[in-house]
Amino acid sequence: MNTRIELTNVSKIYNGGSKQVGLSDVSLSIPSGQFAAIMGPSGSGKSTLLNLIAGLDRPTSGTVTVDGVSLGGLSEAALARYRRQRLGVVFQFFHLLNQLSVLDNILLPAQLAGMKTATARARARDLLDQLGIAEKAGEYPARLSGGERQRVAIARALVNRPAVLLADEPTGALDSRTGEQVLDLLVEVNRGGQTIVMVTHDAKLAAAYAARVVSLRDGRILDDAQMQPSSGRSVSDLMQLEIKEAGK
Amino acid sequence: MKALLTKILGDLRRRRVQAIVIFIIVTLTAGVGTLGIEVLNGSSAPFDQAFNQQAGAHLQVAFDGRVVTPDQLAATTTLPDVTASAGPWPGSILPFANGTAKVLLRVLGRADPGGPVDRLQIVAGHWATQSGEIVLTRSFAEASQLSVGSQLTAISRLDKPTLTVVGEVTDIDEADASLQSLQYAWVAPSQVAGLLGPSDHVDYVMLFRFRQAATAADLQQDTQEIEGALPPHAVANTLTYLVVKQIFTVNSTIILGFLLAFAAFALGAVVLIIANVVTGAVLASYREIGIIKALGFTPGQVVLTFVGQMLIPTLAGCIIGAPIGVLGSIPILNSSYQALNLPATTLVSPLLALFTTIGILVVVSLFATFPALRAGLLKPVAAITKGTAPGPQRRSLLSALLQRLHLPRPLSVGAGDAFARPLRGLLTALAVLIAVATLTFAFGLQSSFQKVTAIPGFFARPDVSITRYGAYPDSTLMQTLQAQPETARVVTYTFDSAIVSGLSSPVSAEPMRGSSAADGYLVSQGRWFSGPGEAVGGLAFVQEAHLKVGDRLIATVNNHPLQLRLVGIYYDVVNFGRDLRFDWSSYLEANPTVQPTFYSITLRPGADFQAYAQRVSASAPDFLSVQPRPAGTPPFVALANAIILVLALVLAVIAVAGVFNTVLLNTRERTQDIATLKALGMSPGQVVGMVVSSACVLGLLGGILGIPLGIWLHRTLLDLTTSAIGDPLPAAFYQGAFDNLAILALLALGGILAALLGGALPARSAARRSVVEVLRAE
Repeated sequence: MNTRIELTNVSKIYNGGSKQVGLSDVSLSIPSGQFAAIMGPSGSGKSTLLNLIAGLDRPTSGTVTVDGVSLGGLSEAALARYRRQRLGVVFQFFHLLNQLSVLDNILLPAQLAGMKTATARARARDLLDQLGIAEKAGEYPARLSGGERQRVAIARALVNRPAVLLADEPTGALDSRTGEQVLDLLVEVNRGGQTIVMVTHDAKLAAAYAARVVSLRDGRILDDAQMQPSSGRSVSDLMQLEIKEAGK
Repeated sequence: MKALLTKILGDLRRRRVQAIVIFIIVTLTAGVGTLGIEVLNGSSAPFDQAFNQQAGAHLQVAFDGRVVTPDQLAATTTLPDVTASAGPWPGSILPFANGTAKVLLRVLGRADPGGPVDRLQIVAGHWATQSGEIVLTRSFAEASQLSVGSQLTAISRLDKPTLTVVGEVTDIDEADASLQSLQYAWVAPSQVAGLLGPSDHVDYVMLFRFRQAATAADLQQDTQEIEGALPPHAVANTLTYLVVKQIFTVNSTIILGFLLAFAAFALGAVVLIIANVVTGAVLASYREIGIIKALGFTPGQVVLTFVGQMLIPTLAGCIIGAPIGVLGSIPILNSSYQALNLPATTLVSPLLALFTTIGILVVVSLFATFPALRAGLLKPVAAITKGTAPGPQRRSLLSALLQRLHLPRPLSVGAGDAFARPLRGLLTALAVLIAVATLTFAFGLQSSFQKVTAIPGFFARPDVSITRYGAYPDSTLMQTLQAQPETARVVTYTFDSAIVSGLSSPVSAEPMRGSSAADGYLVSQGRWFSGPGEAVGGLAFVQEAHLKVGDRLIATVNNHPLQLRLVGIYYDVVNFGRDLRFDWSSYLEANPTVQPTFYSITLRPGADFQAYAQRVSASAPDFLSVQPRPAGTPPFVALANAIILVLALVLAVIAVAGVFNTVLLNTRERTQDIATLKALGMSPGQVVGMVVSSACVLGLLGGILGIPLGIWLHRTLLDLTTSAIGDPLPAAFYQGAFDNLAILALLALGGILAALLGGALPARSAARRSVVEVLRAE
């Protein structure tokens, strides 16, 4: 399997009044086509990890390589190009642009990447169909439900056929039923070969939908479990791990 | 109160960039506004003050000594409306030599400087009491580099008597020598006869004060009563104090018009910016407003928090700007005050600076209160729940249009955001519009000044000016001039006065010989005269005499009626439009032996003015005053240009500040959107482009609309200003003022330039802001 994402001895320390450790000597490889969940409580470093993979932040030490591209030496403009060409990002609070229609929101990354208008429109409409919101193309985000907005966000993230799809707490702002629907969509997208890295604090969700769950605590990898039937690991095992760590 | 102050100061610290912007633009506005009001107050006050102190003459009358005697003139002193009179003083207009320079002075024989009318102030030396002594006005002495002890030679007589300057005075009945070329000079009464040449005659000058003299109509009636008490054609010339005051204040009036206009523009732009700031602050602070209301702030106190944030930097700006305005007014007023021996510092009023400050604070309060009322009326729960004001949720037609034009997406997104907050966008566009209109207006003014200075008579001078004195023959001088190879054209003229039916007093008449049509006079109706029997008139004369182009008139010159036909109306700068010019051949009917006094010489291209003047002067040094055209810009025009430039720059700074403020508010409001776009792959450069394009839309809109407004302002303000000095510009003057399309395009682009300058810093800041920090803060 090709390695899509490679973190090697990555540390991130935030300078401030007292130095805060975001990540501490983390090494991680995520192969192409895998649906990996990064799990941990608040402050564990999971968002830091996602930001480093997205090139939104730079590590204090170590290297981050995504789809063969080492992010360390890239300028801001190069990182922007990297994000628009190789990444798709889904945020917890959707972050759609309210003054653009659904279709225009989805087209935005394609236009930034220079995709031809006709091609981009066809791709966007195709995604809207796949995600079951084709009739919402002309609507504005304020008129959509939370689930519909997140679908739009997923479509926007996929329009450029990214190497990696990053999802930061994609169900955090949704009710449980809607959240499950969104995760079902991500699983379906993953079945098509899309590499997905999802950040979540919810162990149950992580185990139920991801093929691999990386648990972080205090900036370090606590556990790295493949969620395959043959591994013997289960949701209840992950829940136990969580309870034990919470009690410490 | 303490809680309110704490909140206000805390908010000011948080919005210190905007507070500094407001401080700067208010400082500029307060400075310009105070300057304008000080000049307004000071421009006529000193004249009125000195006029009352010195018992100035409401009316000065020169009587023809060949028609009337001093005994006959005594009858005028007992007319019902006369409250005081002085004279008759014998005198004449006589030529003098001051070294190689020659000058004309109206010499009067006056026994003492005091009296019931026109009390002269001696500022140097003493009064002339003996033969051989002469007293001059201070402004003339300074302009001619004379002082007590200097000598002047009377060249009207062959024996050329010499007079010694024994004193200098200030005379409220005369304007400064730079504005009124024929000045009085005083000698002992017994001296007058000894100065007259063979062709000179004695005139008598009397000065009058009346019960009713507030208006030109009052003075016209008084003049008619004087004429009625004397033989026909006794009155040779009159001058009212209203005209003298007009001359005295003309410079100040012109500058004042511009200052007040600019101050109004600046204040307008400032309040638009402040309204914008407060609107933006309210929209961005919903949650905070809800919280402070929940804590116990009343709606009025909430409003005061926003108004207070504007008043503090405004007050600071006024404290700095108003005194600067007061200090700046002193040199502008000083030139006029000096002529009246009044120190300028006593005529500026610090109280006016206080009134200006209060006025600005009131206006700012009003414009800050209206948008702040929204904050006061917010329901606390709704405000806390919403957190921020509802964002724009409608499609931007502009963005869609620009997208169709295949503009890069960041630019079309940014441009579409220009009116995402319609009121904010509109206020900003208006601020830019005002600035572009002001720049357009300033450009028009500069061209207009250049045009005015090209009009013969006041600022414009011919290549060489010659004044002929005494009995030196005109024919000899003309031969000398024609013999010079550089001579291209000679126009001669003299000053006289004409009595025309319907006029309250004689009008200035200038018969001309030569191709005067080519001199560059601005003809607004009809054409320049081209032969005997034809005349052109200034607008004030034509209106007063109820004439129109084509009418016939009888102008009595030297007691001889001349039959003339009015063929044109022209713009006269010397006599405020009360002027009549006609062909020399017509003048000879009234004065068969008269010879011209003044010669305007136009030289061929490339000629050396100085060398020519020296050569001609050397041909008859005792009888000719030959002056080449001075180099450089007239001082008043240079001053006006400098003031216009500074004021235009002030407005430009205000416009840039307005755009800066709007872009800052927009980027702060769109922080999350911008972070999202960066996360999606928008590069820092594209973020800058997006933000700046939004500003450029506003700048372009303001620029395009500002041009026609500026053109209209130029015409309107010049009309008002020149009407205020009694000499409105004709419509023909404005033709071609804005014909240069390249310049107009540049002015329109000035709006975009203001947008680029104002938007650059906030755009760069937005591009650099960390995405992680923004998206983490939910």
